[in-house]
Amino acid sequence: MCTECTIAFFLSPVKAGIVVFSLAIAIAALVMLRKLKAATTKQKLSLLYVHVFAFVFPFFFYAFFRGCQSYFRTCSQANAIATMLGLTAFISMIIAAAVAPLVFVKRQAGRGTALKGSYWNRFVAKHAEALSIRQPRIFVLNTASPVAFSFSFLSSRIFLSAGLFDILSKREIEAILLHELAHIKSSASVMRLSGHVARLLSPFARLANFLGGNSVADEEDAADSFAVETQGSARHLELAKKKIIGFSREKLELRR
Amino acid sequence: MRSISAMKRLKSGADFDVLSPLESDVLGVLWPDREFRVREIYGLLRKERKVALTSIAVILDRLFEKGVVDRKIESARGGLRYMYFPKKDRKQFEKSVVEEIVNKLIGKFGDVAVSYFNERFVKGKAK
Repeated sequence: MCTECTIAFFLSPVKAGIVVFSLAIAIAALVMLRKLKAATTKQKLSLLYVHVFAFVFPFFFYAFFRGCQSYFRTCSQANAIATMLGLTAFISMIIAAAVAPLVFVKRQAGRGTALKGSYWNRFVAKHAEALSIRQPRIFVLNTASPVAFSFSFLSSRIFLSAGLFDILSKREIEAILLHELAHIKSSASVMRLSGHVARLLSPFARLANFLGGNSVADEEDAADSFAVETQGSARHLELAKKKIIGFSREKLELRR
Repeated sequence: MRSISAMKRLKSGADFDVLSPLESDVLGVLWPDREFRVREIYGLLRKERKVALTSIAVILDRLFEKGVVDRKIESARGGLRYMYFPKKDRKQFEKSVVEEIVNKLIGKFGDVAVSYFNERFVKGKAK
């Protein structure tokens, strides 16, 4: 029976065509994801979502039609289709939110320069050991905007911009690194980034809150506390934040 | 009416992408062909005027976006920092400003501007 149903499914030109078309979109989105170097992060994440959706959809389509030949005769076809599409979108969202951080981090690491053997590597190694975490790799991004963020999934990485080194003092950079190490220790970066991804794909903003939006402030406070306690002073972290915010504010004012 | 409002904008400089005082000071440090980091430029300028380090960083980034300066990353303080240098010397920059202004005048006033420039060049040559 199973084999006959499967064969019957694929012998239907419409159904087979839908499956092939969906997989073709999935492949096209993947190819574009790899080829479009100049795409923004949002565009890349959108392509990733399209790829996942188009890849997952045939499976749901097959499951619905394979198991629901009689279902369509007895209930509203529109409801069945809506349910199928909704389930596909939901599952795709979860898969994309899990995979997207890897895509995002790989892209950032590709754009950055790995720091090796520097004072900052030794500083991070010392405090990573104290925190009992693996030493994260440090990457420097080629941008004048002072940014710092970290990621911990499979391997931990800290990203700092050249602009950060331009405007912060040694102690202020140390404060930022301690802040990022605390984030890595709490392993919150994957969920935060997944939440960020979910927020970018805005139809699922409520899901984004579930993925970590409301706990971001707590995570930031905990990371700040760690940096302050380790340095024995809040001064360096506060000055660093003031300069980072000041840069963004001045840049915005100049653009007006 | 279009000409009157265009004149007002011209007088206010709103149409021209000229340098701010701080941009001029920063370029004054870099011209004709010197290379400096953000902190070095800050150190030089703060002797003459009140200025914040972040302001210098923002101005240099803006000048980079305008194509007036260029930058390269180099190792410093265990990390990587920018070294800024002028992409155009003072004459090239002034020429680009004049070109932009003239093009905008011609764009706004068309034949009137072209006629004026012709007369001006003819009178200039006659002298």
